[in-house]
Order: sequence, then structure tokens, then C-alpha cells
Amino acid sequence: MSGLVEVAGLRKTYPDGTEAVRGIDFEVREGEFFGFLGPNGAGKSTTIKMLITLLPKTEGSVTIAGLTLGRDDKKIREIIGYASQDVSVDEDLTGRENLILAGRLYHLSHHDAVARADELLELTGLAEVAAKKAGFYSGGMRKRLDLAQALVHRPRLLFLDEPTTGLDPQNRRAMWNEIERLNKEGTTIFLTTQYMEEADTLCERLAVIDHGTIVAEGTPTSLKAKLGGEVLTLSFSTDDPEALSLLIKRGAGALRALGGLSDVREADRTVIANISNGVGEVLPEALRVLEAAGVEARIAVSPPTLDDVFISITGHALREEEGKPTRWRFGARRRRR
Amino acid sequence: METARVTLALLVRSLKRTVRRPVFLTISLFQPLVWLFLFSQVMKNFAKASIPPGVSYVTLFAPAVMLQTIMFGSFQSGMAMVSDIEFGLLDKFLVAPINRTAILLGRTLADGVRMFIQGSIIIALSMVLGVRFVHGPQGVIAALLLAVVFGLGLSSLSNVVALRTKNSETTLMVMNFFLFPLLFMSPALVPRGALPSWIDTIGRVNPVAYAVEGARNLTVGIIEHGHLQTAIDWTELGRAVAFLIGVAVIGLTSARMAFRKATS
Repeated sequence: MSGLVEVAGLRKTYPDGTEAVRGIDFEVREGEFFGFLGPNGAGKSTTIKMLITLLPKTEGSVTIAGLTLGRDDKKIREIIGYASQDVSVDEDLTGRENLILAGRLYHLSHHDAVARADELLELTGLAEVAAKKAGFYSGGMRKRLDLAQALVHRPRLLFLDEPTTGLDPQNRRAMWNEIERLNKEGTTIFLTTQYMEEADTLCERLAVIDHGTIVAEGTPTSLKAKLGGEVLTLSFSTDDPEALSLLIKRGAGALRALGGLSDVREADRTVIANISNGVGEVLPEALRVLEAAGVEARIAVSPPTLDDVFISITGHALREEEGKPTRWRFGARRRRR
Repeated sequence: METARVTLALLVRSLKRTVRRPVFLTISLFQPLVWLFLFSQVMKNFAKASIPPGVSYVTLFAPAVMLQTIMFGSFQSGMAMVSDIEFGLLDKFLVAPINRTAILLGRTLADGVRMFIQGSIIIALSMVLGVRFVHGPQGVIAALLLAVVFGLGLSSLSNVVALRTKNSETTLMVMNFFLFPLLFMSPALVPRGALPSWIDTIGRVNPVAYAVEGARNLTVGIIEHGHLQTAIDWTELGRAVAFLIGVAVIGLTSARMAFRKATS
């Protein structure tokens, strides 16, 4: 193996007996954008905290850039960067002072720390508010400052724990662009997320974790391909509720009678079905039975989303999961804002 | 060398935090003023009987106020620790490739600097009120250092509570719970002669008693056998220094142990 991160049999059992991570194996390759996907309480944060040397592992072996976790922790800390789920900025310091302090923690000289801070402020668009206390920053600005802090020493491997949780769509997109740019410049990214869309857009490879176990691993495309075929969706042009529900009922009925389709579902305004045989055979058949049933509908065929993948693997949807809250070594209580 | 630089950076950061909280800063300056002006007015008649004629209560009280300010300011250290834990800043420091001792050391040194400045302000205010420090600046500085040594023991203990409970209210309550009785069982507010004899006996193991008498010894003198004794009593002073250094060593060691336990 030649992974930048190699994890084998990693396990974490908390003193109270909670098995947060139950023996996981995966690798992250150099330069890769790796996604760690799972619902709240699945073990994402526990795993990341072990990898960044904040939480001792119970069992298993981890190497990062050939360094052994548990033995070469200080050397590992030199090459990794970490931005936590909850923004960690010092609210009493200005944005610039936060970054200079971060630079000092990575052994930059005062002069270099100042230069690097200014560079990062420019890069993250915080130059204008650099002299303001971070306590006055908006949520999006804090996130950017937090990310900038993690970049101060140009880490080879960047750990991002749910970087976009709590951001509005605009800030989320800006954060995505920023992280993608870093990855293009050669930084290996390890990202945890509970957003399918995020994992699908950004990550080259994914591991899906649920209840402390990795349940699937691969590229987003290969994971979706595992589900087999594509998804067929019927939509209707009428706005009349009664006509609509009649069309949905009839459309679903017609499709159910057809071979080559499975799991025909009636949604609010659409009918959805999985295509289990080839699209080329099913589509003409579908058109025929719909016409015969007198159902006028638009037919769309699309690849499955990662949401579909997650449901098919775990039997439950990603965001609905009522998992146990993730255990934190240090409570993530917020006091202000 | 690297560790020294990181320690300094963290020290400066801790001090900036203190200075940049205006409300906090104002209150921590006004509190001792209240002690000095109001409390001395209230207490001087009570204490009159056990103070020799010609000695003002404020004179005896000033070193005690200096000490109290440092004592009750010491928990800020533990509370700042809780805040660093809550805001994920401690994690940020722990992920950095630094000698972790620097995290606690930077905070402790910042506590020392802060306490020394707080104490100096009280000394300056007392001089405005006409208190005369008979052993000059050397005596005053020695008294401040003695108070700071004690204060560091206390701030370290507040860090122990903070690291165990991760809760700032609890930290405040635990520290107050122990410090108030110790203060009232010491000759800080009334001269030793006015304390019940059993409390005076307990005073032999009360660090606050050592600190306040030590500070008086070095600045305004202590009352012995009904007279103000301004010459330094070296035996008593030596005992106080030894006792308070002991308290500080215990505090610092347990803080270090608690920190290691919480971060590994």
C-alpha cells in the first residue's frame, strides 16, 4: 500500500463502553479528495479526532505519511491541518492576531507569521476586517478565518470536520471553491460530511460509515453504479390536485404491471421507479403502457443519487438518523452567538 | 528555544484576552477600590479594640486587599481554560506540533504577570490613601512576589477544577467555597488578637494567614503583643515563604497532572 493515510482495524471504545468506532480499514491516497460520509453519531468525528492525535485509539494501526500514530504524533502534527466542526477562533483577538498566533504555533518567526497571516487574510477575503476582533465576525467569516488558521503551515494533509455545516448556500459554495482550489494545488483533503450533495460534488473517493463501521467505499460513481440501473421519474403538467392524484395512481399502476422496473413509488407530484433492466428496453415499454392507460406524463431517466445509495445500504436515510450524539473529548458547548 | 517562543506567544495571547474585556477589566479594578474605601470604613470601628492607638486600619488592611485581589482574581485562569475548551481553542493548540507544556506554562506565566500588575495597582491606590510602606520598594516588591506565588498556587488549582469539570460556574463555586472561609479565618480583616484562639490555631495551616501576615511583615509591619512591630520578623517570614511555595508547588504539580490526563 502506498496511501498517505493507512488505517487498519481502528477501534474506539469510550470508558463508558460506547463503541464509537468498531474496527475500520481504509486508505487515503496522496493528493486525493477523500470523503468520510455518515449520519450524526456514526463515528466520523471520533475517527477524525483519533487521526489528528487528539484522541487515543483503543485498537488498530494508523500511519500518516509513513509515521506511526501513537509514536510519531508530534511529526504527524507538523504535516496535518485541522478545521473543526465548531469554529475555533479566539473572539478577543483580531482576525490577524488569530492567524499570527497560529503561525507562531507552527514555529514561524514573528516576521514570517505576520507575512503569512496577511497572505491568508487576502486569500480568504478577510483583509478588510483583519483588525477587527473575531468576536464581531459573521458565521461565514469565522469559518473562513478558521480554515485560514488550519492552512498557516501549508499542511500536506488537511482534515475538515463538516466544514459547511451551518453555512448558508452562498457561503457553502464559496467554501467548496476554496477547498477545491487547495486540493488542486496538491493538498490532500480528508473531509467528513453528512451532506450527500457535498460528497458527490467534491470527493474523488468516499467511505460511508454507519454505526461505527464502514459500510461502503469507492468513487461516488462506482457507489451509485452498485445500485444498478437508473431512476425513472414521471412528472405531470396538471395543477389540479384531483387530476394529479388520479394521474399518479394510474401512472404508478401502469408501471407496476411492467417488468424491468422495481420499487415503484408514488411521491407528492411524481412517480419514481428503479430501472432494473436496460433503459433501452424499458423506456418504449413504459411509453406504451402509459399511453394505453391514458396517462399523459413527462418521463425522465436519471442516475441514482448518493442518497439512494445510502438508503439501499443502510436501510435508512442519511439525515433522518437519530443517532447518539457524537462523543467529544471536550464538550462542544457554545456560549456566545 | 522553540518552546520558549511558543510559551511567550501563548502568554501574550492570554494577557490580551484579559485586557480586551472592558467590563471585566473595570470590575476587577473597582472591586479592590470598594474593599479599600467602603470596607475599611465599616470595619475600622470593629477592629479598633485590637489595633494599637495611632495605627490606621487602612494601613493594616492595604496588604490584605492586595492579597485578596490576587486571590479572587486567580480563578480567571481556570475559567479561561474552560472557555478555551468550549471554543475548541485548546484542541487547536493540541493539534499544533508544540511542546504541550507550553500551553499550561504560557497561561501560568500570564497569570503571574496579571497578578503582579493587579497587586501593584492596589499598592499605588493605598499610597494615595496615605498608607506608608516602611520597608520601601524592595519590601513592596517582595510582598507582591509572595502574593503572586500564592496566587499561582490558587490559579493552578482552579485549572485542576476546570480540567476536571469543564465548567466555569463550577470552577468559580469550588474556588469560592474554599477561599472565603480561609479568608475569614485569617488575620486579613481583623488583627490576630481579635480572632478567637481556635481560629488562630487553625491559622497555622491556613495559607491565607501566612500570605497576609507575610505581606504585612514586608510592607507595613505586624501587630504583636498589642504593638505595631515594623522590623521584619525573619523567622515568621521564612515560615510563610516555605509554606506558600509548598502550596504553589502542590498547585502547579496537580495542574500539570490534570492537564496531562485531560489531553491524552
